[in-house]
Amino acid sequence: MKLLITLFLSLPFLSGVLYANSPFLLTKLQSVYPLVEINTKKIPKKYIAPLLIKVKETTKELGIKSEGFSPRPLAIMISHVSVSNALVLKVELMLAEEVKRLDDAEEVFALTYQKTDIFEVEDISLLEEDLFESVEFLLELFKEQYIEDNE
Amino acid sequence: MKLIKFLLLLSITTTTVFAQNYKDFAKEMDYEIRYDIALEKAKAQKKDIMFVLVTNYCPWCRKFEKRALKADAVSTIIQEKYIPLIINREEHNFPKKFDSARIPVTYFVNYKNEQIEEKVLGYKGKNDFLEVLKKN
Repeated sequence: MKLLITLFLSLPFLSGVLYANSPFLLTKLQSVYPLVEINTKKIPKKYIAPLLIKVKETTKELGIKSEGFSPRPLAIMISHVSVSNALVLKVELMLAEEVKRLDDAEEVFALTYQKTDIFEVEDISLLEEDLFESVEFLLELFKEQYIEDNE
Repeated sequence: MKLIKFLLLLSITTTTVFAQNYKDFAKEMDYEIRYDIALEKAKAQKKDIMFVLVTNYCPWCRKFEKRALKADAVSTIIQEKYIPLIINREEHNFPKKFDSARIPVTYFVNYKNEQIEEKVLGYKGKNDFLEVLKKN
């Protein structure tokens, strides 16, 4: 079972290492609405506010407007994955917005950036540390790509 | 120079339109965007309020606006029977009793005492929402 969990967790990690960048384009991103959603009872909601600050710090650093009510959420979504008795967390950073299809100009809702980090919390006393590390890791990838795409 | 001014204006206009899209919906569909004004109008016309609470970032809300509320059959009944109101939850400019963790949510509010007659949680398609309207 340990081998199975390790393998399960390694796959997204390996693809993340191989492709630190993503196929999405982060050019000309004027504004976002920072959002943190915790969709699991295994993670206390008290982490929402400090994680939101992390997202805002990143957007501020990149010069992306995050005040006001942009309809383009830049969201951290936290959920858990059931793998045996292990506490496995799935942390996603995603950007979503309404876009126009190229061929029929229909306005549709679409994910325009997504990166996922899945990890096992081996020691519950390190939950906060692991969670913040994961969010910082995803924000760092986002930042790197944003800078690269706007060069 | 004219081109630069035009591009600048276009950029500002686009930002404004995207930043306020529920307000565009309200303007197009003749919805109120302030609770106090909707209530005043409701009392004057003796109609209940249909209050749709959305957020700026919620895809289900945009779909609800486009697929259900904009449909002719739905819109006709709404305008006939209610004072429609739409508010962005994130702006916190409505009585606290209407706050909801789940969005979109539609309240049918009695104009006499501001009591919630019915609460419809989540997205409804055109036909389902028509049923809700006919029932009320």
